[in-house]
Amino acid sequence: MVEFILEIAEVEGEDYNLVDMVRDDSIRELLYKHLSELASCPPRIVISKLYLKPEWRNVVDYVAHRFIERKMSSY
Amino acid sequence: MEASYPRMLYRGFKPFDPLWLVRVTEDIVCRGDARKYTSFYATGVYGGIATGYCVGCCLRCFYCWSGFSRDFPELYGDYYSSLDVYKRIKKVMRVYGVKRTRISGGEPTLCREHLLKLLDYIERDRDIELFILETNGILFGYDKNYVRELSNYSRVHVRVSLKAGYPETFTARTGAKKDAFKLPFEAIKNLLKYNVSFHVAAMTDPRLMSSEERRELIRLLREIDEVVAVNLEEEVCDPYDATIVRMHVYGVDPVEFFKKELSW
Repeated sequence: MVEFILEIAEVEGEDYNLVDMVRDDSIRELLYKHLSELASCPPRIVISKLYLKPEWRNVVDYVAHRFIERKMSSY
Repeated sequence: MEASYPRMLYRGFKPFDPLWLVRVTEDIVCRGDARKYTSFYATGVYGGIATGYCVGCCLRCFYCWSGFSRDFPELYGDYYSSLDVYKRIKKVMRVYGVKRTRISGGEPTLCREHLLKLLDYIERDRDIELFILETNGILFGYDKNYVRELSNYSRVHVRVSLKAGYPETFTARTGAKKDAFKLPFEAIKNLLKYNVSFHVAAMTDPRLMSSEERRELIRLLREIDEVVAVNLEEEVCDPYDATIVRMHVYGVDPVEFFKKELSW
């Protein structure tokens, strides 16, 4: 899910809320279930706030490490 | 004043100390708990947000979109106390049905007393879900205690806007001395240290920044924290009225500039 949020953030990270950018109802439900208070924030803010949560921090760190390699190789 | 007040950048400008510019700008735009603002309105960014448009900044980016109040703070705006600003913001939120707010236009970290009192009002209001603090990071890099104080507010999300990947280009774009280049990066370290919610934006528009500089900027961010680097918001320059004038004054032809293709 974190990777999915990062991918969405690459498209539009600040101006729209995360759930508004998800077409698939089942994924939207999943976001509300696991990130109830954050799903209606823009994607970059969701990532920032997840990184502050101890239960999510390692996952965000792990995905970011993989994602940054891909991001750098595109430059 | 040790030098004349810097307005727009021009070719051959003398770089200034942004911390000095903080002080002289605060002399103009802050009055006790009050700060100068030009307007209060709502806009669609961040999924809909009430915005207070403040006066005064400590950088002079030649591509900056904000109004001429940045360059001539003496001529624009009226003083509003933190309570006045809170009330104005609440009114905009009610009218437009939004639950988020921010201060934009100038540098919101100027007039510290005003900002922190405003955040006190916002923190007590459970109807406000988010306060976006858009900053150039100069003061948060200079004073870690300012960031520590900010960590007391649960609904603040900071957006740090980086201007360059090298000290030389930082000066060329902002007018500030090369030494200040490191301050926004120090701000990022301080925000991480005090667990403040934030993300970083950077003006990586390829018409302003080479791909080498862009890579260097991301490398510097990655050295600090990979999540911060991967969550980077990359900005492009748009032809706002004030941007066009500032470019012209700086000797950059805005027509030629905005004709260029946007590709890395």
